[in-house]
Amino acid sequence: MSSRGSSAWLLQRVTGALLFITLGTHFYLYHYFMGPGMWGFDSIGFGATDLATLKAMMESNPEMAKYYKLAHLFAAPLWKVFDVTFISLGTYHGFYGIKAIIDDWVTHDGWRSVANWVVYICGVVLWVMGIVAVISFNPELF
Amino acid sequence: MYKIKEGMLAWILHKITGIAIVAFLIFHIWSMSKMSKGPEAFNAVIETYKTPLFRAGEVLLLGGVLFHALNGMRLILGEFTAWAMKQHKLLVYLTYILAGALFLVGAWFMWRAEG
Ligand code: HEM
Repeated sequence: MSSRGSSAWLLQRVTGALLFITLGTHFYLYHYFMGPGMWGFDSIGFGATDLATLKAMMESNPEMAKYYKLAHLFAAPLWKVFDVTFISLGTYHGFYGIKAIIDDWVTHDGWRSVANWVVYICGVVLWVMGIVAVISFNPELF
Repeated sequence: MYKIKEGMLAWILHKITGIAIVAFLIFHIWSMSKMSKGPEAFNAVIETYKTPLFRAGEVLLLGGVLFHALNGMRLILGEFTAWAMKQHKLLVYLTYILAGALFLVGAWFMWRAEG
């Protein structure tokens, strides 16, 4: 990790703390709501449709129940903004973390530079893939 | 900074879990970009998530994420507050206990749920 107090050091802490909150929200949305339950969602939902419509759709076509839940989240502007933020925090923090490990362990200047470029390019490609998946999703169900 | 014995294992585990979560993130975003291409694609991907290998992987991932998240918050707390710096030993043990307990509860629910 870069030296204590530097801006990269601070940013790793800030993104880490923000990830703690966004990861918690992500688990609630994509593992609890998308999975077994819906508790609390009618009050804080802000999904693409209301919960009654969603439930009716799920009952009329159980095969698609999970997809409807996904669409309810993924098509809603609030959760698009949330996911773009979450993906950005995760790719930045994760790939910067890998770079920090490389800086600590790879002592040869040339190899370190090569490895860091590979990590940088992978990070940017992954970030773009994630953003595209989130923004382009438009199921037109509701 | 990390000379204290209690922090050594946590320090190594933080790196291992960090790398493992990035590996998962690569898989996750790749798989997400397939899933978001429509209902058939979505259901096809979800089907593969139901295999025992995947479900075991998810449980393992839960453990890694819990440890990294809690230990990361402990690191941040220790770097910014004198209190947490003094309570270093206690907080390291608390991290293990909390991560372990949450892991057991979470793993039980995950394994019990219908994929
Ligand atoms: C959930 C909340 C999270 C918190 C509170 C957190 C906190 C931290 C902190 C404080 C560090 C710096 C450690 C050091 O300087 O020794 C760090 C490093 C790291 N994090 Fe996270 N993190 C979180 C989530 C994630 C996620 C989701 C990923 C993967 C995408 C990740 C990957 C990494 C990696 C690879 C490192 C570098 C390992 C190291 O240098 O020890 N973290 N994290």
